[in-house]
Amino acid sequence: MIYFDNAATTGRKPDTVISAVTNSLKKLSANPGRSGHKMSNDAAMTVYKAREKVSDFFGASGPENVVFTANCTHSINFVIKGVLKRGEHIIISDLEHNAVVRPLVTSDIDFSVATVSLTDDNVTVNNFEKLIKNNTRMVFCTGASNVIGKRLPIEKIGQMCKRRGILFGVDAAQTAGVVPIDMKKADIDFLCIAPHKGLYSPMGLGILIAEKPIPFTLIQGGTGTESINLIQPTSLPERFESGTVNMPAIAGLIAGIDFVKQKSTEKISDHEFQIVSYLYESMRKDKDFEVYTDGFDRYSYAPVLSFNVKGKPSGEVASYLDEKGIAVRAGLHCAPFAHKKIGTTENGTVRVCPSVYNTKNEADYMLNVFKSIKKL
Amino acid sequence: MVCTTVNTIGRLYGISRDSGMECKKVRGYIITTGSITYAIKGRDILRRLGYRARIEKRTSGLGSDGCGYSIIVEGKDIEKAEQALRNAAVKILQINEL
Repeated sequence: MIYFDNAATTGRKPDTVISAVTNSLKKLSANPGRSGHKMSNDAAMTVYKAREKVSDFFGASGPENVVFTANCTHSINFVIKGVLKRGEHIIISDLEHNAVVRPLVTSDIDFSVATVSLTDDNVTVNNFEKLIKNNTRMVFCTGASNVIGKRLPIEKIGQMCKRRGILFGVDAAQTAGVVPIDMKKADIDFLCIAPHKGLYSPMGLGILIAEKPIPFTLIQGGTGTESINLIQPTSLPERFESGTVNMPAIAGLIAGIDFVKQKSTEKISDHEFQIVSYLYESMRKDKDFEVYTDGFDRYSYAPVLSFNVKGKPSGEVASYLDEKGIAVRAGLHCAPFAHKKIGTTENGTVRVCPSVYNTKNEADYMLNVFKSIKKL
Repeated sequence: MVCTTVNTIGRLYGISRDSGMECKKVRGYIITTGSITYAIKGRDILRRLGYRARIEKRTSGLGSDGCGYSIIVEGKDIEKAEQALRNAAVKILQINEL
């Protein structure tokens, strides 16, 4: 199978990640930070090592600020529902995933939606700033759209938030491991990460890096610490890690980060972008295709491409590609805001996202397959 | 060996006067941090400062602070160790002699 659905999760994991997971199941199958015996302590040391690697990779203050969650959506919920309360206001973008929108729609929190300019980052920043009110507590936005790949000017938004005394949270599901992220440099207070995407780690794990306090915990339970106390502990990271963490995935995460560092984020991004921009340029010149951005440059976009074959439902195109051994995702990608922005709410789009393992030959094969789709 | 000033005469007659020194051999200290994360962080800090330090799960005092982890530090200069940990925002629940 030619796997181009890496925006959902990286389809092929490095051998080192698979080995790390297997080794963890064989030798670290003890509950980390709970029991005090050798295997439990070894597991705890592995978890701590993962926290150190994550902290170092993303420019966080320290390993104790790194929280392991079930997935990036959980991380986002912890931030939005844990920090904000009734009467407060948050600004999000018009490209957000439902992981950001749904928690707000079902809450008492007031929110505004800033328009992202596809051509001018300064306009985007101004659009966010114009929406600030007296009760605005936070800006939360995606690092890059999971539909059209558009990158938001995170550092500029972070600077604006710092200047205005507002918290800044980022959904880095599509950018972690693909775009360099430095929390200190970008003035990011909360970073939510999906390590099973750009960090090539197993599914079932999310990361939240919190540089500022999160007053409310959504989940309470056993943390292995201060257990005589019936109130949830106050210190990160255990405060947000009630229950057993995903030890095998955390072991895999260490290997995944090492893999990305060894190849370098810059080179991974260059490689993926070459494939995606090749597809984009080919489709843009072909009247039978519809693409949704006017340009697709390396520094304004993550390597995520949405398109349609004119006259064909996106789902039908994806099914046909699947029959030909090519994996893509069609539909609304859990991001109705983004589809509304580009006018594809009715049909959705077909989405392609390469990983470090995809090749230009695979892109050529897909373009050839499209020739037969058009005849259907 | 750790020596502390003992003020006995002052305590009896309400006069503050040093009466001597009381010394005892201290092998090390138990620094209770609570979570394993802070125990590991604290251990690494102390090791970088040249202390011999290891982590152990708490076996006593569960009724006061609950389960948790401690850093066992060998040596006598506990003030410097404690300061280093507090400077690094390591939460310390209590410090006891070994």
